[in-house]
Amino acid sequence: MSLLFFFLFSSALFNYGMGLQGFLLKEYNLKTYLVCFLQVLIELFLSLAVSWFFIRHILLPIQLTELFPLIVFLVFYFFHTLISFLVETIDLEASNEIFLPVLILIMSFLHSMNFSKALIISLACHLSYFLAIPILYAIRLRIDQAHPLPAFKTGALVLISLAVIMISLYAFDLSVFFQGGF
Amino acid sequence: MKGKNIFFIASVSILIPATGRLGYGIILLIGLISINCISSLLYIVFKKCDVGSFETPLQIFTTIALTIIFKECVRYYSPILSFNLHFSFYLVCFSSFLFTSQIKIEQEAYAIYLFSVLKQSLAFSFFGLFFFSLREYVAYASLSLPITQGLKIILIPAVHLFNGSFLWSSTGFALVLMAIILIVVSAFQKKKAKG
Repeated sequence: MSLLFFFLFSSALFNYGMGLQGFLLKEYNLKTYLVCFLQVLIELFLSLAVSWFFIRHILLPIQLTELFPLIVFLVFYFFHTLISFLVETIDLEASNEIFLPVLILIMSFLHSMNFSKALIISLACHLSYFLAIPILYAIRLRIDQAHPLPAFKTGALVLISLAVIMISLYAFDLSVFFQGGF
Repeated sequence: MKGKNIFFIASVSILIPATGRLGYGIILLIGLISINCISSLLYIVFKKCDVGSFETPLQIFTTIALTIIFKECVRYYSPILSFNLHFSFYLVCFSSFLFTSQIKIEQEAYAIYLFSVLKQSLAFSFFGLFFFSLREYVAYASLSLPITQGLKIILIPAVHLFNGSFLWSSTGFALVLMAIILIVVSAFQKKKAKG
């Protein structure tokens, strides 16, 4: 259930948050996309395992768990630099390709009680983000080809398209219609 | 990157995922301004120290550290607010990094840099306040303020069929609201430029 929730929830959270910068401002090709996907996947897995160890065996005994985002960032940055150095991958920008995985890691730590759940959450978030990129990129290209009115060129149509996708994803949840429950 | 893009990205990364209540928005925007001010000062220090390739990681590290400090301050003020905002603090962290890193320091003009970061942050905060107010009004027909016990909710008369619907508090409808604002602002700017 958590896989499904975070698969949908992360598409809601990350795609329009951090992801928008990527698919609105960047030009993607298949090679960049796949390399980026694999690199972040490996970095996420390694960082999660090492961070989990540090938090569980160092921060938790001394009751400093509030500092876990710093540990997560340091560990992720170490693996990011190492992989970028060993395998000559694309030069990833700090603002998007570092922050997004770091936020995924922070989110998975905040919402999980054990390592396996943290792993599932982070992988679901990562997968949902990378699966949504081609769809949203295609929408963006289609909107550009349609030559919309100048007022609609600001990204408003992309936001509306994204809203429609999100509302469709949440369509199974009818609780919002039963307002007596709130 | 243009200032307009920073504004747009910061809008979607802070304003949409946050809850539909103005009270929470006020806390997040205070956080954004304070983190921006301190991290831009630290950025100047890093520039002066000439840390080279460590500049970006140091900047991100200090921004995350400042976010943790701010989160603890909010927890000291109101544990309920801190608990409810939870992950949103780290989204502020990302946006703060955008503001401070995308505006470049030109020829050691530190005062101009600080002024432009502050100007952008304040302009964004005013827009954020407007967006949070509008979203809360259309969703709950109320406005809220942060207090130590949580939120003080002030009820406002609702316009039938337009507001008071919980659908507007959802993230999907917040995106629609943002798109409507973008269209209106853009159309207004085009009209102003023409005539």
